[in-house]
Amino acid sequence: MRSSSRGSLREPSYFVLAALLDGRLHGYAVIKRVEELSGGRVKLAAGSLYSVVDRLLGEGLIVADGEEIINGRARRYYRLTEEGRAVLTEAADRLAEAARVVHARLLDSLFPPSAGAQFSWRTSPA
Amino acid sequence: MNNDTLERRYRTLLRSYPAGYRRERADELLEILIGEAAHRRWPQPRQAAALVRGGLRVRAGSAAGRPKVVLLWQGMHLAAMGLLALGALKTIFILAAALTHGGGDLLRPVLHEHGPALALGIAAFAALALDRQRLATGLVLAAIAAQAVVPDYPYGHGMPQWWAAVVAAPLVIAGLRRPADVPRVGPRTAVAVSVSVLALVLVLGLARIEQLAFDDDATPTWLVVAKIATAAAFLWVATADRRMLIAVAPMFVLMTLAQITFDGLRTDLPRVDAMASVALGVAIAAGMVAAAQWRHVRL
Repeated sequence: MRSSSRGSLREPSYFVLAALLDGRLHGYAVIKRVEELSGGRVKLAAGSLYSVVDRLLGEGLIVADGEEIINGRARRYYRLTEEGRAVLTEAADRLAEAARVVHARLLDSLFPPSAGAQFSWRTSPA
Repeated sequence: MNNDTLERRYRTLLRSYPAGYRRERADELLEILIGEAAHRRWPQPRQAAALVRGGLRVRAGSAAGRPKVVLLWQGMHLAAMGLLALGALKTIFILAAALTHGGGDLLRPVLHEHGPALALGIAAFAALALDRQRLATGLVLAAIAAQAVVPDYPYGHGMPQWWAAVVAAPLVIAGLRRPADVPRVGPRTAVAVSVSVLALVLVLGLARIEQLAFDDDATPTWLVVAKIATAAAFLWVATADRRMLIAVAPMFVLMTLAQITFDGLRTDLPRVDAMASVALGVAIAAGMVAAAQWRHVRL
């Protein structure tokens, strides 16, 4: 699959794809949704958004999906493709796995298993 | 209406984007910009700066299918133009100096020696600006031939203008094989970038013109301020439009070749700092291409 050979997603791309999980959105709505999903951490400027959008369009992870005229200006909508969904899922799995490893080590450091212990929080009792 | 005024000001800022991109995206960008700046009359300075830099990035190929390829080929094209412009300017400076110090009697022989190569170099620059690559190749090669037949001009090979066409030639010849998906650099952009690169090289003193202009050793304060301001302005623009960094890189090679040849005529020992500037030029160009590749791989 194409996604397996691709490098990791940067945070703005990750959240733009995540914003489109619920359905098609136009640019301004994507910015607001990204800010909301990232807890205010990722605030995309207009130029930055379209830099991300251009790359995602180029990779076929999103597509333009309809246009309407609002206040005399064309408003274009974008939606996730199947490949975009697969890449986002893969990235989310990778982050979850990375987080799991760190959480496990953090817990180990807080509650070190004593020598000869029969039980570790990570493994079921025999 | 506030919104009309604000929209007009944003449209002015959006002119930093290429026309084709503006046709495609201006409405969408405006909707976001005006949506975020309701009740304002002026764009926020940070937002304005981000827009200009965004436009410069797109001009440098960030929205292209193969950004690294666009950056490399257009950077090479602009580098050749910058070299030819610097060569021409240095020759014009020599002609002006000859006229000032010796009048028409001194100007005539200098013009006879440097005139043909100067005219051919300027013509090659114009051909490149108009994207006439084959014509430019012929003119650059003719310029090299013209300066090669000049007999015994003192320190001729030790002058940057002698090397300008020589260093530009491989870049111009390589441009004949530009991939079909790399767009041409518009003439206005090409000239603007060449002038910017030229300004940087001259103001920073890489071309050593100010040493001729100021006889005393002490550099005036205003010149130091001008150098810092020019370098800062150039870096601000060039870190967005990275073709400019590729365009300026061969200038280091040019200066080094001239310095080594000049020193060689006197001492047979090339200066160590001259070699360092070559390394710096190569590092700048390689770094820009690597950064473009990294941005492309990471979505």
